[in-house]
Parts: sequence; C-alpha cells; structure tokens
Amino acid sequence: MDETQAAALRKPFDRKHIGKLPKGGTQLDYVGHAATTDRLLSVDPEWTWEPVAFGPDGLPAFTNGKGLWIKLTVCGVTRYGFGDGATVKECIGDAIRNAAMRFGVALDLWGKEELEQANGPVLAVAPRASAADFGKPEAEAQS
Amino acid sequence: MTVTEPGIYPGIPEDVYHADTDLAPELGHSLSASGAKVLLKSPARYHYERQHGGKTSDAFDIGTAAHTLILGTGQPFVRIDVDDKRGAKWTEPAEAARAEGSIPLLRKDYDAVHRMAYAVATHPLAGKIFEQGDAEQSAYWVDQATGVTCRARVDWLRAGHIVDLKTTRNGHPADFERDAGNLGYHISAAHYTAGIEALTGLTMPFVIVAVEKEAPHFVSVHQFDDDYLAIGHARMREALELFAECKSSGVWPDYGNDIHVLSPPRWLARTKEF
Repeated sequence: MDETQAAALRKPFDRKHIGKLPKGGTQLDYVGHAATTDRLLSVDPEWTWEPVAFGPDGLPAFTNGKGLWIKLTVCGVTRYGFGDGATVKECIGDAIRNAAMRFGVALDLWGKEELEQANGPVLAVAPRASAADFGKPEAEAQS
Repeated sequence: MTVTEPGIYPGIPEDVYHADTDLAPELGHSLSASGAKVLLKSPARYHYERQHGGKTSDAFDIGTAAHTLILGTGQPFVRIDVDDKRGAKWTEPAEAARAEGSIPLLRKDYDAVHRMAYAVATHPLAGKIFEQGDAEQSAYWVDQATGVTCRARVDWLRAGHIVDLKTTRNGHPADFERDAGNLGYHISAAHYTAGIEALTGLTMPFVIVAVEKEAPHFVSVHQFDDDYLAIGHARMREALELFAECKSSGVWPDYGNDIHVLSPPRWLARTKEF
C-alpha cells in the first residue's frame, strides 16, 4: 500500500454518508457498511475479506454465536476486525467497518471511547521471536 | 496467600493456583486457558471438574515432574524403585508419596524425566531460553470486554518472551503444528499473550519449548504465526463470553436433550470400503 492509497482510505467522508447512531444517551457519527464498501472499492477494487476461523460445517465461525473475527485485505495489506450484531449480515457489516477503521476509513469519526468500545477485545499481535533473541543479554532482548 | 488485585504473582503453589478457591475473593472465580478449553467442549464438564477436580494421568505426572526439574520449581517427585504399578510394592509407597504432596514415578519414568531435563539444558536454543527469566509466574487480570477475571500460570517469563514448556509424544514441527491445535495450545498462547499485555503493556512473543517423552528426547522450539494466534484469540474470546453467560445465569449446559445427527467425517466419506 502506498501513501496515496493510505491517504485515500483515510479521506474524511462527505456529510451525506455520515449517519447517527444512538448510543449511551447520545448520537454518535458513523459511516455505514455501504459507504465503507464504496470507499474500499474506490481505492482497491480487489479488496476482500475472510473469516478468521471456520466451524465444522465449513461456514464462518462466530464467537459464541454473537461476533465474527475477520481478516480484511486492502491493497495487499491484511488487518483483523471484529463485528457483532443481531444477524449474520450485521456482524459481517460491523466487522468490515471495524477492520476498515484500522486502515483509517472513517477513523476521524471514532472518538477514543468509541474506538475502545468498537475495537472490543484487542488482538495482541506479538512480534516474532527469533533464535538470536536468546543469544543476547537480557537487556537487549526487548529492543 | 490472597490475590487482591490484577498482577503477576511469583510463588503461588501449583495446587493453590489450580484450585482457584478463595485465592482471589475480590476478583472472583477466574478462568484459565485450561478451563477455557474444557468449557468450550462442555460447560457442564467444566463446572463438574471445578467442583470435583480434574482428571490425572501418568502422562500428566511425568509432565509435571519434568516441569519441576527443568524450571527448578514445582511439585516434588520421588522415585519408586519398581518396574510397574502392579501390587503393593507400588501402591503403598505411591500413596505415601501422594499423601506428602509428591508425585510418585516408576523407575523408568523418573529416569526419563532426568534425561528430558538434560536434553533441554543441553539444547543450543532451549538451554539459552531457560538461562534467564523467572519460573511459574501466576498472572491475574480482568478481561475488559466481559469483566471476567482471568488467570494464567506462565512456565517461564523472560524480559520480552513468554515461554511454555511442553512434554510431547512428537516434537517434529509438522506433527507438533497439528497436535498444538488439537490440544488448544494456540488458545493458551492467545490467553497468556493477552494477559501479559493487559498487565505490562508489552505484547510478547509466545514460545513453546517441546521435549519428547521418548528417548532420545528430541527438543524443538516453536511459535505460532499470526493466523494461528488469531484463531486462538477468537476461541478464547468465545470462552470468555460463554463463561460470563454461564456464571451470570448459573446454567452450565451439557450436550442438550435433542437427538444429534451424526454425519460421516470427511476421512470416512473418502474411504472406499466402509
């Protein structure tokens, strides 16, 4: 992904694409699934997503029937997202919005608190260990 | 000893950690990775084992003894100088050892445990891994999404690495890759990584040192890639949500009262002769 593509993903949305989501007694700005998909298509027509896990029936695996982890690939870069909702379609749309946010899509609309709520459980992506780590003195192992 | 707040606690005895009874009254009943794996298969089984204790086995005893010797701390073990477990020559000293809190091992198993420890200590990479760090660190934290108290017992915590020691039937990377999934090691990795991150702010690699139980006790070192770990996170998330729901409702479901339809697994469907 080059800088132009990254900037295009992060470009603020036109007001007509921004809806209101009632949450906690207030109205939060948000961009819907369709506008998010349109943004992804405009930057990378070949963007795609896939579930992180499949169940024994071969269909996407949901977390206790309520949420879906996905991998969203845009311009060759893959990032994780999590979505929940009352229906499968809602879960997918929410997961795509969540993963797209990690590419900067509509990021400006997410306040810190909403970001934490929407991110839900943070996936800890640890750096890869290498054998060389263990040949170094302890103080260097973290660097 | 009482755990009053989230943190990493050294020196909690193994039986106290596993019992999880009144250890952390202010944090409440906690969920471990081992518990999560049982819970995902059957909440009722998890609830039963919590009340009555889990299963033990010879393999479990050998693994625990190997941990004690390699990590330098843990449940003590003693050698019962017999070749098999038939008769009073085994049962009497074994029961006495158990009563004292020790693990009784047959002569051959005791010797194997020492050979395993030697294999790890002399392995060029594994030996280095255990040169620095702290053994058996018990971590307690609260999962923010569900409010569930979590616990993990890290075999070996280095500055920058979480290390898990496994005794295994087969440490060949191709086989261990499959076995790790079947045994839910990726779920443990996700749980431990999340816990240490919650407590320290550091996202550390999770490294498994596997030593084979059979001579010549080959040693191999493994780590999960991001995809494998992500599945572990998803499964652990599922367990945390399930745990919260069961605890809240007081209902720990078993296999249900409906009739389950059994379809042929793929390997059987491919078999020409049924």
